[in-house]
Amino acid sequence: MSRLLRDTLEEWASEARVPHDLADRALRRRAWLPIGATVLAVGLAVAVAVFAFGLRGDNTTVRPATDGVSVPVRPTVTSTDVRGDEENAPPRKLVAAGNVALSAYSVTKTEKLEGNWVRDQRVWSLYDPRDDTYEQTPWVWVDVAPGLQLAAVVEGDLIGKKVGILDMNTRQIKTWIGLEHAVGSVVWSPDGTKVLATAYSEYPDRWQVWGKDARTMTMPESTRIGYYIIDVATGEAAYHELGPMSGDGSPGNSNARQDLGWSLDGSLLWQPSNIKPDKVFLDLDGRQRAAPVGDQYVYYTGRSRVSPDGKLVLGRDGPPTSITDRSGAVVGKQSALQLLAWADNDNALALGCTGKCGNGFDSGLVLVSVDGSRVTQLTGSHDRNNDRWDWVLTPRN
Amino acid sequence: MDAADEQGFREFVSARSPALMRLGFLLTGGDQHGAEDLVQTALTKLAAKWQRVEAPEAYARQIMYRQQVSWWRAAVRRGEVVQAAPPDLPGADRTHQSELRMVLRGALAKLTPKQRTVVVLRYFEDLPDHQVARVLGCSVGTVRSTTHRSLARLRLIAPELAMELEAAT
Repeated sequence: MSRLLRDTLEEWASEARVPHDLADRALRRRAWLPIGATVLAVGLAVAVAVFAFGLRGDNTTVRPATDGVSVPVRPTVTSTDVRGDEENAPPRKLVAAGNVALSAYSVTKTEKLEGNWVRDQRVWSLYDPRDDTYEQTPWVWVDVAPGLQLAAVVEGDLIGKKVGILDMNTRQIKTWIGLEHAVGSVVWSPDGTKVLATAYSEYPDRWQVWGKDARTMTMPESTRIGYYIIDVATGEAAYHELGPMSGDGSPGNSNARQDLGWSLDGSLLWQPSNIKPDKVFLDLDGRQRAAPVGDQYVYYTGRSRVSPDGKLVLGRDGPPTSITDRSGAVVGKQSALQLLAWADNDNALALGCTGKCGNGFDSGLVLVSVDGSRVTQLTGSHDRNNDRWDWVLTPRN
Repeated sequence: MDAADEQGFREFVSARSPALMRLGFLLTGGDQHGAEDLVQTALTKLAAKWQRVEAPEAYARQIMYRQQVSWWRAAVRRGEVVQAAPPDLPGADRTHQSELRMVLRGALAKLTPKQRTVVVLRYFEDLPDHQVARVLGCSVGTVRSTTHRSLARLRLIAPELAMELEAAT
């Protein structure tokens, strides 16, 4: 038996992953060590001096420490409380409920350029756990990993060739990954180990306007050229060519920005279509694949329509919105514009509306119960036609 | 800690963190994050005493053993149940050795931290009972009775291992 126990323990131990930054963590935390802990350590030091354990030299089956970043990183404490800033839109204080947090947001301004060209430019703000606020950043795209411990950022001029992995707590870039092609967006894989970056030959959020009051718009061809899958632990970035989806087909996409996303389980990618269906699925090498069975996604996003316990499904845009069971029977209606994400099995984050829901752009984030009876304002309401702001929703734990 | 000490500490961590993580992973019942916390706690304390510790790895391991047991004691006082999630168990045909090991992992994950620590010290670290007792600050009798209870609990959790486990007592 002892052989079976020893073999089992050896085999199991070999599955431990080795964080590369243990020394940094220990040295950083040393400054915060409470006096009591130090006294305890002194006591132990005396006791230990009499032992001499043999050092275990055989570590060949353990994944070695690398120069990359240890991933995934999850929070040490689980948070599910409701946090809001109902006075402000965009918010100044953390917005979160259940297992979803508003981890970052962008404010978009439209700029006039020469030759009838105009472009959208985003300013990104990122959640700062040190004081539960949002901090404005200089980066051109931002996404936060599940657990809110790491962020991926793009440095550049509108699009960029450098992707950084940021420690949310220290605000230090842990590693930079240089790319041959410029990327215009980044998104973390659901397991928090990889970053998907969509590459463009030119900044996609620009178009030409014509006529009186510049009401006629000509959207240029999409400039998407491919994508990278970045293994954050090793820093390896694998590039795959992928031209834009045509605007003529069905599915198809007439938008110049065609950012890729991950499937819910991280096994596939999807590219957006603005003609039904809203997604075309690809394997990680870019080959088209059949869509996963069932309509599992909030429209045009990578978030799940299905509640964490698998029993309920978020419905399409309202007002009113509705939530159904898996058979399609309505279990609750809500006075909201859109259902965005499940906070837990009983509540969803939604785009709420002011007054009688007359203006779809005059809205703010709310937490709404399945039966629609409880609505908690999470951000201020704001006419999103002016200084549009868009949120990034991220699993909190 | 001056620059030379810090360099020495970093070299120690670089060389020995795989072994410490393996130990932490077992002590926490296969919990990667728990193992990182445990190793980090030990290394933080080691860093504070770096100049005075003669056997740094033994010191770090000692802290990990005791820390794991003390966390468990504190949790018990708070009325919490400390329980790492065991991996999915395989189906009915568990005759193959690799399947037996998977069943045993699931059972080990269900032990209390104290029971698992004693099993790890006895069967992974290969320490004799009297050294286990000194490491944990208890009597040899307590080590033996805890070992006995741990194996009995493994047999209870995974009856298909009962025959195999008999030989270990």
